[in-house]
Amino acid sequence: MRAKLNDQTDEAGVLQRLNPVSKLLAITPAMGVLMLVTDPYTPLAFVAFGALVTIVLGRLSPVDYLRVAGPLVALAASFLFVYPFVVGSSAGTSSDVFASLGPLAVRESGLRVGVATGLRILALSILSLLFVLTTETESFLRALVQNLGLPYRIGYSAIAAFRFAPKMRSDVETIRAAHTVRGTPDTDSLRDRLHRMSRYAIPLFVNAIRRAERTALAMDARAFGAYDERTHYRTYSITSADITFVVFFWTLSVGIVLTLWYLEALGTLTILR
Amino acid sequence: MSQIQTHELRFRYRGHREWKPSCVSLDIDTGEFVLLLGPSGSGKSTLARCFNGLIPHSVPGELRGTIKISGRDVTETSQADLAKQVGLVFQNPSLQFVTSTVETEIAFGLENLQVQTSEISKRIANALDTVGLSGLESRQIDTLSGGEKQRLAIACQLAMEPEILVLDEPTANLDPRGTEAIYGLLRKLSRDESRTIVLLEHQCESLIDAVDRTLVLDSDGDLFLDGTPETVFGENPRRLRREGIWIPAATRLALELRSSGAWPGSTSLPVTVDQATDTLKDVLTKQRSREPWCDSQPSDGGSQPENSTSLSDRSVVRPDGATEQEPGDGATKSPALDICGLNARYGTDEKSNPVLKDVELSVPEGSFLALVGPNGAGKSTLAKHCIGVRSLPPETVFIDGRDVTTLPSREVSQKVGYVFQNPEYQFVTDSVWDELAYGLRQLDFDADEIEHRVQQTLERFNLTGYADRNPFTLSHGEKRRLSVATMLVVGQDILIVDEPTYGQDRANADALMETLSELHEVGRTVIVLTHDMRIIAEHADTVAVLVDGEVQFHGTPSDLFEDPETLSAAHLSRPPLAELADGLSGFSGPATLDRCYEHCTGEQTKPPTSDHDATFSSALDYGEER
Amino acid sequence: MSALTKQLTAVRNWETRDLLVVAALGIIPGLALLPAVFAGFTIRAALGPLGTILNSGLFYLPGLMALYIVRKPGASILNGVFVGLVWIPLTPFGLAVTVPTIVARLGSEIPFLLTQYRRYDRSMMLVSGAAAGLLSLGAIYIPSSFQTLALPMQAALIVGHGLSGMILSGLLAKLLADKLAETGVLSAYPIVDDVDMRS
Repeated sequence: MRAKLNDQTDEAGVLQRLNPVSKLLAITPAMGVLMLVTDPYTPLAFVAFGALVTIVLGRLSPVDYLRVAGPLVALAASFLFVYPFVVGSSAGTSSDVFASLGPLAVRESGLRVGVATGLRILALSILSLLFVLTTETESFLRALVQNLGLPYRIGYSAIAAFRFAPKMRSDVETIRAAHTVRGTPDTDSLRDRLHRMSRYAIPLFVNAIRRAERTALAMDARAFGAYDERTHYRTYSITSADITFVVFFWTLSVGIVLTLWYLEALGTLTILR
Repeated sequence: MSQIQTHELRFRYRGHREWKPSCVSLDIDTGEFVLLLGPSGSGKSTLARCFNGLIPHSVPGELRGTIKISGRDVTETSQADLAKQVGLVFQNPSLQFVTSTVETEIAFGLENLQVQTSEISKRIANALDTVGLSGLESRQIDTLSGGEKQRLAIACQLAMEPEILVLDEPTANLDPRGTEAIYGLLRKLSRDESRTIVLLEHQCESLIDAVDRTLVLDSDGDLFLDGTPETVFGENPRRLRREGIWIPAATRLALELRSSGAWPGSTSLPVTVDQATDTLKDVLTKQRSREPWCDSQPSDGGSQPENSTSLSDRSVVRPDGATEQEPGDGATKSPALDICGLNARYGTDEKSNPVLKDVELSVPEGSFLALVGPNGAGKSTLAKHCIGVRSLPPETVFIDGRDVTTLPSREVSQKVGYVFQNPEYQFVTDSVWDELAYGLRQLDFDADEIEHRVQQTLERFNLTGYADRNPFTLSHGEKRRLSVATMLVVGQDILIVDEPTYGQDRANADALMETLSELHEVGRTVIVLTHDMRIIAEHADTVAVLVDGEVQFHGTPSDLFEDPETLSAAHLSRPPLAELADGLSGFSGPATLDRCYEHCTGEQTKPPTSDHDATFSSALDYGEER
Repeated sequence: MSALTKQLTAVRNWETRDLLVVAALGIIPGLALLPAVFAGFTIRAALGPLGTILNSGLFYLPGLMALYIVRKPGASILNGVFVGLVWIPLTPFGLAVTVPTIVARLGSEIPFLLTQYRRYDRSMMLVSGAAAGLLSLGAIYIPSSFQTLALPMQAALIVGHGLSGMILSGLLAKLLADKLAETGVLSAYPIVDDVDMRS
């Protein structure tokens, strides 16, 4: 375990040092393609590619990476077991429905759709991981403001609101304790759970809104939004490293798609069906 | 020249009926250090928000009258210009930050004002240097202590170079050490004659000597006192008490002494400890010359059992008319709560740091324990283990000799009550009446009994008029009263209260403490988690100090006060009168008001009818006129 | 649409308080729903496409709450943006979930736009919730291969999403916000006037 996930210290890899926007830019075309493909090979290729880039350029330990990615694989696999039973034939006649609901009537077409959908979701997730595991939320938001023209009032509101998250977690814990002390039954039936959820919701939201209002006042007191533009103490610019990475990633993405097309492994795109 | 000038200023929040503040006219000059006092709900914070233009620019409501900052009308000045002129520091340090690191946070305000990057770096360095946080530039804000966070908040304002610095209860959420650091900083800042400082507080014992001027709002939001601390406190103590406003300990002591004739009538009432010590030395010298045997007697109240000294003379008349006294010796009783070798960690992660290390603590039935320690020392964690809301290994926590892990949570909640810091967390229904009935319904009481008990509790806690109100719409003091009431209606033997005086004004805090003392006197076990030295000195009979998850001290308050090392490890300061007591020859033991009084009057017990501030505020709470 | 876009681009018309409340209403449920985002995929895997009905309604709830409380055009969309800003950096499905979320928010604004943001009552909330549900279904239809499903299944999906949006987001948002208003915490917003009128 060399570096902790999401750690941006000295040992950080290339990915951590890149502008968050360029990482997002790099993976977007590949994700667009993945939304549309129907064959199992393209997602597989991108799973391998995405995982490799993330581990090598992000200097993550493969063990840590697998710990995060493992559950995603399991999730994708479960599609394989469900879709065959619910997918209708391409003809879509009603008689096929009954047959497909029966547990034994697994259709070849259903299996294919299940595999493709599962792999597609997996590939999308793996590409997202490249970004997720190497980016701090706050830098992402700052970069969005500075490089992609997100209005700074929205960006900084989001940064401020992110600070509420850990407090909300401790709120939930405290409210649970407080209600236990009141003698609220700690049973686990669905009804009790729903009831408890509704009881928790009010104090949680009340606190969230109060926090939001107080923080907003504190921000106004410091001239937030006084001018249309603001200066930036910490700047995020697109460097040559960013351009190199984006070009590298795009080239390889196109390369993968073209190779698969050449090998005739690329199926029809959903939109064309 | 006058820097803040208001004329008949009044403000009404949207959706509210009352004007608070109502009709405030004042004039604050450049370089003044102003202390603004007032009970909760008097409109102090509202006034502060007017000073920097949040009102009317950001807060919906109706503003009447005028307010001018450096001669310019606030309503006609932009928020940006005002932000440059007036810095406002808020009560809760963590709700005023936007970013996650120290330097980006200071930069935030400057970026809004479009200050250039090179200038920002300079200002960050200067501001951090001023508040003593240099070297922490890239620290995550969440890893700072409360005191450091609040100093950072001040640095954020200083970096914007305001002429006026307004601080809205900056120490309310801090432990005594954090408070002292802020006060030290304010003392330093006040030396700069070009900077005006307005400090809003419920009390500021150790900073009072630096204050130039004191303004006091009453509960209706009127400015009713304005002058130097000496004139405000020295000449109007009764009016201040009627409003439930804090009075410096030195003034309180002198007041008591004056009413018994021990304080020379010609000398004005002191405000600072130094002023009091000078006069008291004379008083004592004169007295000793009259009663020479006093010198030979150890004067720590040794004629009485140590722990009950402060309790015995506080025989309190309960609302039902019974007078009860409970001696403080609980050594012979079986422990109400017994903790044996408790270890705990944050979360379930094996690698996380331990929060509690092998805690051993035995709380005898009927005792009043103050559990103290720095923020984050594990006080709340320990307390939460006692109510069975955290899973714990068997055979570690016993209530009345029974292992908590073997008791169903329902039974634990019948034995132990827990009053949370934020009362809202405990509300489970939509009305005050239902809130009180809730616990009883859980225990299957019949309807008549519930009706009877709820009615009784409503009366006892002065909440009858609020029976149909939504608990969330009560004031903070009322919410806390309700949350204590919900715990008592069931009648638990052990009551744990998290920071009873936290974020409350003097009157509310005293009323709550009085309730706890009454409970203690009828034999309930009371455990308070606190930083408040007054509670330790005047209410507790036992203190446990928790530092870094370990019990460092477990004994009587007087032993704790003799142990400066433990005090400092617990981030506690000495009680306000301790410094004064140092100046009195022959004084030892806890420096409570009563004991100082007894010392100065030659061991004469303070008459119960005297203007004792605790009984006074209890009278205030129950609506009696004295 | 012009009124909407004008309001959205002129962020200056929004008080910081509005922004922060909408952000808090986005980020906090956004984080609270993180498990649901993961679970959503699991449920979808376990129950098949019908699983999306159950949890999707809850996804637009914060947006409708924000719109109902703040009552400014675009509040729901902006809330979706904040939710997305949580999900993109924090979940592996970030973009995949955010796009339908924002599309749903667009849907929820349509009924209000048609009434020029003047009415905020129960029927508006129900219609708006349904519109959100249907539009978001549209956004995930093709990527989830729903068009390959049997027809009755597709019909069930459409009806289910509409109802789920109506009840789980439209109605629930109104109930929650009204409850919140009773606590007095929303006194700075027009919603209090409604509550006062009823009591």
